[in-house]
Amino acid sequence: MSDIFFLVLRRLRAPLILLVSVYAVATFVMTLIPGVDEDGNVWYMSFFHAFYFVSFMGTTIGFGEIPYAFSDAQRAWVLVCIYISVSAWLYAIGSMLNLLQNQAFRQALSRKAFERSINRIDLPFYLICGYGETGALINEGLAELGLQTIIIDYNPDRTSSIEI
Amino acid sequence: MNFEKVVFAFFIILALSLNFGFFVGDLSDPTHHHFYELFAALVVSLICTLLKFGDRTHFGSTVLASSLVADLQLIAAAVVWWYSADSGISGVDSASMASIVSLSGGALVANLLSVVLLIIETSQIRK
Repeated sequence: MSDIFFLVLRRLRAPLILLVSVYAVATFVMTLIPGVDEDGNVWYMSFFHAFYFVSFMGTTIGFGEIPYAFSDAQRAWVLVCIYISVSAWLYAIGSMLNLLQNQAFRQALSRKAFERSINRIDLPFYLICGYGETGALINEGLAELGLQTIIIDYNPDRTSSIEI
Repeated sequence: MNFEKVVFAFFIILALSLNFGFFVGDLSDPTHHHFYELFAALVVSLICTLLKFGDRTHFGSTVLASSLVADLQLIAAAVVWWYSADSGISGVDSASMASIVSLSGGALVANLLSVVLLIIETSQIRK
């Protein structure tokens, strides 16, 4: 478990740092840019509203301009943020998908699945290392006696040729 | 010189100093503490945590744990700030300010611990 967990965390490090930085900068600047409400008063976004806005903007949900319609300066910054945050998300999702196709990650996953299937066996079994001629003969003999065996071999072609 | 170590040391010390900057001042006086500082401390602390993601060394996991503690406390402080600022009539009062600053003080201890761990780790390296 821990192998897979650490691999995922390690891979997610760079995209998550990028996402946190993008969100932080976007939120911070949103609170600095003055807006104008319906009565013509200048207002500044609170951090809570800015974070709320950036969150739904970054994921392109788009609930609109809250709590008042934005000023041009705010819209200009939002425009910048949209492109940056969408790119950051694409990068994060891309590296996640990349990880799923990664050889080491897949090996860790299949190793874990193998360990789990062996742990589930509650009867005594024989372990055969190497599925060559001798290994195959021993396996056949043991199978005739009704005994369980587990076969390990370096060559995946050999083990995949076993009839179960 | 190890570039990765420079980056990590930079962020962890920045987290400590930002948090300290927020923390100093009268505990319950809202004029002594600015939200921008808390925000910066929180973001830098989050980045510190992320930098230690997937680090399998003993040092890495201990620092990850201590910076997670700092994140938790700072997030709690930010939530208290949001709650008291948006629900109160006249902004943040001194009672909630005191709890915000004491939460950040807790995070400060965790940050300090991370820096101490960093110093110990560095001093163990022999040329």
